[in-house]
Amino acid sequence: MQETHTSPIDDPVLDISGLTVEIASGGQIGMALSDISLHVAKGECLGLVGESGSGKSLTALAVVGLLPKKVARIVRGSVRVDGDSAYAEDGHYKDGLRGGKVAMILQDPMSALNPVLKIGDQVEEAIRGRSAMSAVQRRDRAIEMLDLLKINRPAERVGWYPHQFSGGMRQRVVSAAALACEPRLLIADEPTTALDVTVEASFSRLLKQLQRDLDLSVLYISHDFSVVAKMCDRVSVMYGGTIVETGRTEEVLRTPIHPYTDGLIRSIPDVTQKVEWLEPIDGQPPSIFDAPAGCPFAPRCAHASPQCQTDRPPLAETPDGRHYRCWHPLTDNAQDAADA
Amino acid sequence: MPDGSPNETRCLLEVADLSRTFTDRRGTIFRPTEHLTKAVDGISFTVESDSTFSIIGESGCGKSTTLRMVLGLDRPTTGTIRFDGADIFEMAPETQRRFRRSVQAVFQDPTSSLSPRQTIGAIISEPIRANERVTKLDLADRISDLLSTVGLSASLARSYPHELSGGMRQRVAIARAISINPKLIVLDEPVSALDVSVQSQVMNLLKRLQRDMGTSYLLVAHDLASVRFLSDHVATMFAGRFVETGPSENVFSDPLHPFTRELMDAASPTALTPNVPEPADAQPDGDAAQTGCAFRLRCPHAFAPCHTTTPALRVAAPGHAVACHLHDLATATGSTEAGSRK
Repeated sequence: MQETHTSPIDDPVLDISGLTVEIASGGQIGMALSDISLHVAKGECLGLVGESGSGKSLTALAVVGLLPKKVARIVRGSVRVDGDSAYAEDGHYKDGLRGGKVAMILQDPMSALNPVLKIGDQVEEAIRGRSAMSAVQRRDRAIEMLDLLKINRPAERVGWYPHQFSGGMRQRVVSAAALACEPRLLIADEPTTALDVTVEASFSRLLKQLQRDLDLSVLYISHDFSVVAKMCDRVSVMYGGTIVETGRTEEVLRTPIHPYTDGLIRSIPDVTQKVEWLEPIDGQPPSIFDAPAGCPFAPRCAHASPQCQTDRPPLAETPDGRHYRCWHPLTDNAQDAADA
Repeated sequence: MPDGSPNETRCLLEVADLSRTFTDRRGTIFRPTEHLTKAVDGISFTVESDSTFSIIGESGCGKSTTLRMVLGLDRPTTGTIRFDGADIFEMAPETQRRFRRSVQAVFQDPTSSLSPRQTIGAIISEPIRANERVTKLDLADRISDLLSTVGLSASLARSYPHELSGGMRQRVAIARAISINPKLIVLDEPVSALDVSVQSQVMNLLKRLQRDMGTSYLLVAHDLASVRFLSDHVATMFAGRFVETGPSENVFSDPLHPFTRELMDAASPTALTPNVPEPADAQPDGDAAQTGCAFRLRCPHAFAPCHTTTPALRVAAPGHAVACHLHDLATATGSTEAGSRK
């Protein structure tokens, strides 16, 4: 997106620094997120890739202030939106931030919509109370939003109920509601996972186009590298509650630095060619309650050394501005940086 | 119909002209109207021994209805399903028992397909206990053999499903399916609920088991990459019909139907291609599917005949059939049989 290679860019729309979150469950306490730092510049789409349990959705929930209060606690770190801290001193999420500057779309559009309300009302609900619009203006705005999301005959469809739409169209309705309040930051948590491949493609295209047209900043969460490759300018790869690697999407895909990223990319079967066997990563992702002391990937890593078992790798940076956490990075590029 | 190539391989499952129509009542209770949905509309295919036949398509295209009928869980409206030469709905009780032993299934979500109250050992051995007389000692041996076959530790036999990860649970579901050496395993999206790094482990396992045991697979999946990895034959299904069938490599390297191409484009890891037309909302049902090609509303190449006649599956290359008027034009130099089965 931009030429900035150094991490603290001038005014990121989202800036997460050192975020550490604990989760308590069944008498155990686990570090669900440890020392997460990322930023999303204006008009940029940052992908957050990881498997289930890696902490990517928890990161999103921390940004929108929806961490489950009873079990999750922010231990350290800050979340800043447009330069202002999202959390007050006493740990309360700032009023009006979610649904104002920050909007979110989720995986399952059916559960995000109220089945007994017309979709027009649900899109309007996002703007009600936030601006001094009259009822007529609000309705016009809802129609305008549905039109923006390429829903045909919006003036008629505002009176429809969610069940009258297909999955892809419902996700567009949800997105219309999310974008109605003109957010600065959109968090998309696996928005196409529940959709068919062809519908996924058209929704992703639309979202990408809107992101460019509206100069929107997007934090795009997915388990699917191929979707992220299409959508995101940069990508952060999460594993076991940490970000193991961040960089421009095509660079990360072409020359992964972290062995986990490399293994993940290799394990994905390719539609464009027939292979005899796949190259999976052996073993299972770690549980946060018995996380390894050192690198969370060490037990599954072919390059692991004794140091990896005991010491958490620090955040390192390559000369061209890629970040990683690994004692034995894969590329020469990164190796030079580590030696330096 | 589609590739009736008289190969040397034995034909295990033979599905002929299979249809399933669902009726739902609409209108008011005073003026009820019946609405027919053709979930599956005249499909035919064969699964040969020691091979994998895959059906790809979007949700709602009739894939799962087809699987349910093959498993004998739903009756077709018309058409026949033959297993080892016998119609599965007309079987004598003894043959039916043999059929049930020969066909097993692995479902998408291992969390809901395994009983939370049974131990892994009990889950895996249930088909054995239901079908064979075995001593407890033998059973314990078989359980630990099965667990090691699917790459799990034998000590897990006493654990419960909730103690395992998703990938391990799916391995348990696979161990249960292979426990009585079935001839055919029906796989309904076997890896889509699993983590990315675990998906390839399970796919390798399925392939290795097939190589070692000679089991046939009937696979339904929306992830084309995994289908290409596992399949020998592929059918693309749209609105209840097969629109393209053929050997997997032919279909993937040279997709003929515009819908298959759309699926391939959507799945290929290239950049977004903005010039592809927007897919229309949902699949057509009712009237749109009755006349003409069901795909015409989304098809970038639709022309006059697409609106009036339903294209039939025709062989376009050896073993490779497609139902598309474009290929009628390309192949039939004088439009030999322009009619369609209406």
